[in-house]
Amino acid sequence: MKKALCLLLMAAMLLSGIAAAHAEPLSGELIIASRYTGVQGDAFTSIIEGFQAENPGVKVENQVFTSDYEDLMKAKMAANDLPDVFMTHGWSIMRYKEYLLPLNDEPWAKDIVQGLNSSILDEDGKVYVLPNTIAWTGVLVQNELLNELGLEIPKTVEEFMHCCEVAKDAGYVGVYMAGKDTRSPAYVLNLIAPSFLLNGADAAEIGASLQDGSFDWGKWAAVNEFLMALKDNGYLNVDCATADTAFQSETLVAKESLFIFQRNSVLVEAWDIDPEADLGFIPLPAKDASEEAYLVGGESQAFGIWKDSKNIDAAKAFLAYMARPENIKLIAEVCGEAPGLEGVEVDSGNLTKWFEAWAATKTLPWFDRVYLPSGMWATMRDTGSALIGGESTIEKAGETMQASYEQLRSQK
Amino acid sequence: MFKKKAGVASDNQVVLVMTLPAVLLMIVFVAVPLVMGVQISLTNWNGYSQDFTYNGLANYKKLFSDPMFLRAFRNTIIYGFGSTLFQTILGVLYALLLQRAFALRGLARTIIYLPAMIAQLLVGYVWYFMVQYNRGALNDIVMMLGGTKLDWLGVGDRAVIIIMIINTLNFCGKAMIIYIAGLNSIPDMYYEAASVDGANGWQQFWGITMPQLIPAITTSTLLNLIGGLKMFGLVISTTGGGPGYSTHSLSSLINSLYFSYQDAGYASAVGVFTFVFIMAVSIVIRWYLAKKEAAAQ
Repeated sequence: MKKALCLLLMAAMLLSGIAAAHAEPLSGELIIASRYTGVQGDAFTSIIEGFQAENPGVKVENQVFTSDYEDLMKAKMAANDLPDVFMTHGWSIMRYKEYLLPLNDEPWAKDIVQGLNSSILDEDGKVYVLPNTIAWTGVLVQNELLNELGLEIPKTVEEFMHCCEVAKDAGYVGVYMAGKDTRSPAYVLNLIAPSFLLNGADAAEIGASLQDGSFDWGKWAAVNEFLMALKDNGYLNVDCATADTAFQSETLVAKESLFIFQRNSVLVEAWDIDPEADLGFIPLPAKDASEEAYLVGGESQAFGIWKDSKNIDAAKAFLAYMARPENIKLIAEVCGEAPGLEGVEVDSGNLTKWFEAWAATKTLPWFDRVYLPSGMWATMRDTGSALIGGESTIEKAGETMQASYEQLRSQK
Repeated sequence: MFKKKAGVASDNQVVLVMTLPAVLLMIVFVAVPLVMGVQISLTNWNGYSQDFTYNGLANYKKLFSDPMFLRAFRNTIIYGFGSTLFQTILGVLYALLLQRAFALRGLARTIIYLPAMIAQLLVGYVWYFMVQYNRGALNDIVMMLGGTKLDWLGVGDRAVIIIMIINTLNFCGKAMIIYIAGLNSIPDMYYEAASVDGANGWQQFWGITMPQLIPAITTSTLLNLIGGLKMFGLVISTTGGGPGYSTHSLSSLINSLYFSYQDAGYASAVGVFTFVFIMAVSIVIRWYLAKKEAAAQ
């Protein structure tokens, strides 16, 4: 009996010791890399300040990189010396997984929005990031102009082209493209690719072939043809290959253009110029009436932890703090995006009605992030830009895509 | 006369110690990256992963069948040699004009030299806003004259010429300064003697000025040529290498291949080629102009 009591006492002491160790305040230095500036930067800073107020022993250094973020992160990966916590901007699996800590056991992991699973879970079901928001978008639309022209929201590619034709005939730009930034034509290819490849009955088969390397690149011609049809029919702005992105939100506000293939952040910029502008986003058109229009969604404002970080406890605590509903709400609202965790109510301002309108719409993942090897975004940028600039043909652009796909897969 | 004292360093040792920091810097910032660049060029490294494999000379073999590289190589030659040619012509003209004393000469020299002191990226952005389709100053002038607006940078070949012109205007001030220094070093007695012999201005220019300017031409040509062949900022800020990849220089292509295409091995092969090419061109031009200098003496 005495022996049993002794053992019980020892166990109690051990447990209380462990509990005491856990109760010890966190300490250390946490380096966080983000690319938030302006309003988003202020919001993120306030979250860091809140975390520090609760954890005075943790010193946080917020390293902000803007347009160079991806290049700098690549250099840091090459040196195997990453920040403790960093943004993965849609690439947690395809690019950063090798350097990230699995986070399935974190308390917030069970709340991740189901729609994100296809883009943030690896083949073993592991999740590596806290997804604050979902990048959920379609085609940006000048809604007032659409109504003035007597047009309905297009549901198929044919209807979409008809809208562009009507806009062109009335002296407007059908689709505005700021092609000096070659991401603009790449967005068209990336957003419309599911319409021709992954929206029909054979979607699973084509998706699998893209992932296992057996994809028939002849099928990519339809995607290039869509872009070329916009160009050849005169639906794009004359300076589509050279226009600067600085003017794309202006062109929507000024009611000069009907559609833009871009992220919702362009709408947020446009509403900064004119909060009353009747703008929004609509689902991407299906290939034909037998298929449904769809939206594209996936990882957006997500943060992961470097697996070799010396401050993993503090890093996990930071993510747990950021995962609180009020912080998810804050990030989602300043980014104009939907929350990435269940149970968070956000006020997305002018975007709210559009989020509500398309709540039941079919959502497909960002094409390149799931079906193409990391690095092909650059090829899509160059081939898209070359097509609209008259520097390439549909066939040549398809061959370039195939060569790049094979070369990048061979790096694995 | 002077006896070497024990414990006092010899001249050679002093020179060695004084050059050591420079040598170390060269090793750390030039030699080591060059060797590592060559090493990376023999791999299929994506630029960030810890895994890669050596693939021999595959990246070098790919060079001359890759349309992107060939286009960038052709553009680089246009940017380098085209800009140098026009910078030399404009530089000499400005130097001849601004060597003469007149009011506001200093201001004129400063204005022409000023763009050379501004970062290429900024110069490029300013020029972009001048030649852009909408709101561009150039198109405003065209329309004022009754013409039709043009997307100046929308066609690759035309954009390459425009970038070459921008680079020429950006750095012709630097050439001008070198030529002014060259002109100032020509003794007046040559011109006086030529005048006595009845030589006119044109004959004096070709018979005295140009031969005497050869050392300045050598310096200016090499500086401008190397600058043009390494061009990066102007391409990025005016066209970003587009439409497609039609305006890339070798330097901007390396950047794109390394960071966007994630093909660090191939980017390094292009980098090694660029280094060898610029070095070879510089040696040949230097040798040719040295021969001309010797002939002019």
